[in-house]
Amino acid sequence: MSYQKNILMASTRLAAVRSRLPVAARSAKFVPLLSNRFYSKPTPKTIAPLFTVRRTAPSTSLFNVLGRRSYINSNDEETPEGLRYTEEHEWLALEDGNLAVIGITGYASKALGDVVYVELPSVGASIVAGEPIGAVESVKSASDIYSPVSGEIIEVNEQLDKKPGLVNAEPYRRGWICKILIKDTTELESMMDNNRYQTFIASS
Amino acid sequence: MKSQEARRALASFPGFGLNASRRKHNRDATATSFSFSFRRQSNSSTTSKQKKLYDLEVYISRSRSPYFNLSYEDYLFKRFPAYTSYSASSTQLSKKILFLYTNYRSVIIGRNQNPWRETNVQSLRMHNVPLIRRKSGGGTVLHDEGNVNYSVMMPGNSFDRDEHALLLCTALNSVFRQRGEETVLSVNERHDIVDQNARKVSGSAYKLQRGKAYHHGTMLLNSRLDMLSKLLHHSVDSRLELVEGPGVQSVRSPVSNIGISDELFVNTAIAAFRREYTTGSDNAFRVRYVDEDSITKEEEQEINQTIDELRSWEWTFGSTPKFVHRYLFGDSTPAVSFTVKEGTILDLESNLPEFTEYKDSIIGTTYRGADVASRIDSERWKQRLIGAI
Repeated sequence: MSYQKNILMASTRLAAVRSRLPVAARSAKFVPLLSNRFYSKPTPKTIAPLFTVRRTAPSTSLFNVLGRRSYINSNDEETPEGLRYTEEHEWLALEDGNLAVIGITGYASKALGDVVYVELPSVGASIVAGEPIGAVESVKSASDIYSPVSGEIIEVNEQLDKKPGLVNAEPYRRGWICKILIKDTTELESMMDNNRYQTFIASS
Repeated sequence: MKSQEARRALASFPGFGLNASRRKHNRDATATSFSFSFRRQSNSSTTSKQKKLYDLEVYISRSRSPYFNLSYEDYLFKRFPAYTSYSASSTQLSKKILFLYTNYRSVIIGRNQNPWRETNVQSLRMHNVPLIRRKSGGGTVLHDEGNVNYSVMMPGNSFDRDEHALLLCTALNSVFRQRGEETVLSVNERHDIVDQNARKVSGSAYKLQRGKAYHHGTMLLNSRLDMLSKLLHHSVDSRLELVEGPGVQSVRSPVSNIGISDELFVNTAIAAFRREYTTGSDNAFRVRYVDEDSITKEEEQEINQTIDELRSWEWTFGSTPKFVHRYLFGDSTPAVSFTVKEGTILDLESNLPEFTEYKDSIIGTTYRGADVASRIDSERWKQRLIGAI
């Protein structure tokens, strides 16, 4: 008796949540039970059949991308909004206007396998866009990482010396690689945003 | 059928290739290699398998110098075109290079390894065996004239860690069958080629750059395996040293020779690559032989630059990631420990007056035997450090 009551309550709750969603999402199979007003339509299944790509809430300011990121799903397989991406699977987050934080995307870190060592660039080095700024070693493979922008390297992530696995576990958070002070912000315009990056992954 | 659709969907996701030809090889099909492959497995339900053709170039080195061979390999890789997504053209064939070379006895460590931990530096010096750091990842190997190395360079979008190893296995297995030998090779989860007794006959290492990648590996034909323990494993003396720090650690495996001649191996490999990646009807196909004398002046300049880099102490020892090197007494009590970063001593920890007296002058010197020994007085420690570092 109580079992049926629980099911009824759950389905009522589900219906209540569904009704609060935007129209397009109401018929979706996956419904988040936490009411997230910014839930947007899930991406088509043809892109990533094995994972449900649930969009994160868009950030109005890029400033806190690496700070208070409670809106980013803890599942780091999804590429966060608000970051810029390259075809070499690096991401760039902009802090304070001209400080770029660089790392490699979850897609790349998964494809590479368990990272066992990260070669970091030296602080103070000046970099030209497209130049290698280090390398990641995983499964006997040394893979070069390229800088999407020109500038000077202000800081490198020393945590990666002891814990190279952060690149796999938290590619967008503690697995960042280096911070570059950008001189020319026009280089950012040629980088991809989240949607284009998702399409790029799907098409390759 | 639903299951077929699901299978196709799975196969289209990179890394989950249910490539039918892999089943032929003695390999665990569930061990999916999360290869950096953006290549879609062919989903065609037709029976004909499309052979991907390449513009294959084969180089064989006549030089036995590991410095020349590794530099030439690097030169070929630099010259290899980078195939990015916007340069993909369906009309022109992508290039694929096979480079085969043999080195005289030398120990080759991976790009991010610690030579003091992985090798017995003192023993190498005693046996006059050069230590070289290569540019690809992976562990430590001993090369000698009974070992033939193969290096395959491919476009980045078709990078696969096992494809060429599997190809070599199939080719060699048919050779063994013909000769009536029992040896059966297969590729294991660590991307090594092993024989039927799970003994490693080939190790692999890889390097990925924008648009291109290479896979190179050893092939133990008639190598002196007894030298392995003498040169790589730690002797009684060097057991009194401990190395702590990051860096890729080698995974030891029992090894074995496959016992065919280098000529047979080279011919088998070239024939297999030609059969797999070309139409086979190219009459202009030829194997290019290279050595120090046959390269042009421009090539020589570039190659010599790489040779100098490989020979330099800064690259071989100085580029080791930050580590702590502890020296112990015979009864395992600590004697002195050096913290070294980028080849320079950052810190020294010791209770011994022989070291604490000169601590200020030692900190900041290069971590080379002669340099450190010249800063201390004790004869005994001078000898020990010159030998060990």
